Amino acid sequence: MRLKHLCLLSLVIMVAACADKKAPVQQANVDQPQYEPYVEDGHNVQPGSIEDFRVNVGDRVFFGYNHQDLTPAARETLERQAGWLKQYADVKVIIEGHCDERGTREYNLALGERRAHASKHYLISLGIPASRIQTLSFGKDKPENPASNEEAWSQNRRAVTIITEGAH
Amino acid sequence: MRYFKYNLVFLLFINLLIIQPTCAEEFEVHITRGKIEAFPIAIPSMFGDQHAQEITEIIKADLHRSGIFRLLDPRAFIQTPESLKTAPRFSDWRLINAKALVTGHVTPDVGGQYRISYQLFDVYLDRETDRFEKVFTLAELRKVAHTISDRIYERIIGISGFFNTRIAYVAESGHPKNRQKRLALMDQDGFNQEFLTKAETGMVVSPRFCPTRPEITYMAYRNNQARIYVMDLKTRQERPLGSFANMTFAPRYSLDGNKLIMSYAENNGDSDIYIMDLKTRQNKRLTANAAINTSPSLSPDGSKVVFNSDRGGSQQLYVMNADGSDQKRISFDGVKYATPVWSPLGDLIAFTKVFNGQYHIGVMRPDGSNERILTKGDYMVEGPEWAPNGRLLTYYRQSRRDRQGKAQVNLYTIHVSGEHEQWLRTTTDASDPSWSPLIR
Repeated sequence: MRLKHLCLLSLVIMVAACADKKAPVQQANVDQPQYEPYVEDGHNVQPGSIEDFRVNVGDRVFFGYNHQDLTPAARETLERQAGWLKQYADVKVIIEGHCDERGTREYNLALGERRAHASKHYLISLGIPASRIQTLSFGKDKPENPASNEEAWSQNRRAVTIITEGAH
Repeated sequence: MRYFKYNLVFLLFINLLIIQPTCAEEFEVHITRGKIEAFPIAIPSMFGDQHAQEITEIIKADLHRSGIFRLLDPRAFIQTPESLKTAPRFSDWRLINAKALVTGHVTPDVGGQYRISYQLFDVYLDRETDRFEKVFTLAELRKVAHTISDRIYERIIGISGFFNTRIAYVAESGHPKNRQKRLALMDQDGFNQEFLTKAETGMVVSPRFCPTRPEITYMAYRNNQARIYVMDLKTRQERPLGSFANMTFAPRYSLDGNKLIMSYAENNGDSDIYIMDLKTRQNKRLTANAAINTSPSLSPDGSKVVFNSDRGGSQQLYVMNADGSDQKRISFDGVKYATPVWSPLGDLIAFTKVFNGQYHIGVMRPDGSNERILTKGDYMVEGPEWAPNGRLLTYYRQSRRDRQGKAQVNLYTIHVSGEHEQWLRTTTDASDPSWSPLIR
């Protein structure tokens, strides 16, 4: 067990080191990260539901300005997502990549695609089959927070994993 | 063949920006930062009923928007309408410094139609230089007026006009979190607006007119996929451009309409530029590196491509041969450059440039030299597109959004000299304009 954890740790470090889209796709042959669902007070979430994924796992990761590199926090979220997706093997997802509005439309479409791929490739490296993951870039055209300020921009630079099949 | 006498500055301006962009460099600053010496023209109301008046106003608005005509104030006119009916008295028009005079008659014709006859006079040479007569229905009234505007522009300026044209754009409505973006179309002066796609079908971005056929290409979201589509404007039917595994975006036709150049999202998340032969449906990949390569635009002769890439670490402009060889960076200044578009005349590349946190529209020569900034955004300004005669640009502005997400998103036009910026009225918020070819 200890060895397995060590393997997992080294894999995480390895992936973290090369960080992003340029990382070669690695099929992880280790146990999934521990996923322990918790239930908020008065919030009765059905395990394996879309809401379970959103509330207990976290459906999105955030990026720096003009970047597609996964932050340590983003990796943690994606590791939880991978654990959950292994547990519920029928689930298929689409990862939507988004940008803040500061940039031209076409470049942002490309950047949003890079961000979606960064998430997708990390999930693949954690053992989720590519066939379960689609990507879709919205560039700057679907902000989460529509204001023109730093707070809004940081919320908008995101990749959101949305369940399309296999859960309700 | 020209009939009009230009003054020196106007001649220099034409010479520098239109005919011989490589000569007289030392005058560039003076010319581009100075005023255009606008061409003074007198357009009295055409004779006839309210339709004559309507046509006169359309022509005046067209020539005004072009940025290179100065419409003389009718209150200064000396010759009375009554005597003008018989013949122009050129000395009266020279006295108020008119260089050209436009007259016309609109009379009812058979079957509820109308007949227009128009004449253009060179006031200094005392002679008629153009005339045109046409029977038209009221539904064709605006088209007839624009046709006359184009004839006046061509006769005086010596290059094609752009008045009988349309502009495709994205009509935006609803809250920004769930924005509805429809493909829309209107005349270049903002009239006859119509929507070509439905909001519920999915978002549409970056429409581009085909320079040779009534056809528009764009990227649209359909069935959880972002792909390039083509719409036939006669049938209003859209069809996907080929079958691609990943996102296709940033489409643009070649000037001869035979090819389409675009971006394709590779399996590793990067984007590369591809060119499709629309007859054989064969694709060729032109870039291959670990970077974003997008917003491609072909030179008018089809031999070169300008595009946007961040391969050097920041977003810059690059030029390559149309087979992908000899890729060279042409922009070096500023924080970032984007959306390069080759002028249909081949002389300039228009772009969006960001520096000091502000957005600008500018032009440069195809080798990256002689950059000129035409206009600056209060917040965002983006996506210049050329009029078919290469003398005007259209683009959109977006103001800073407040906490509720409210902002103004509007289309503008500007003369390539950087003067005469004009708001283009639309019924909804509007972005991503694209200019049609001249409709003859």
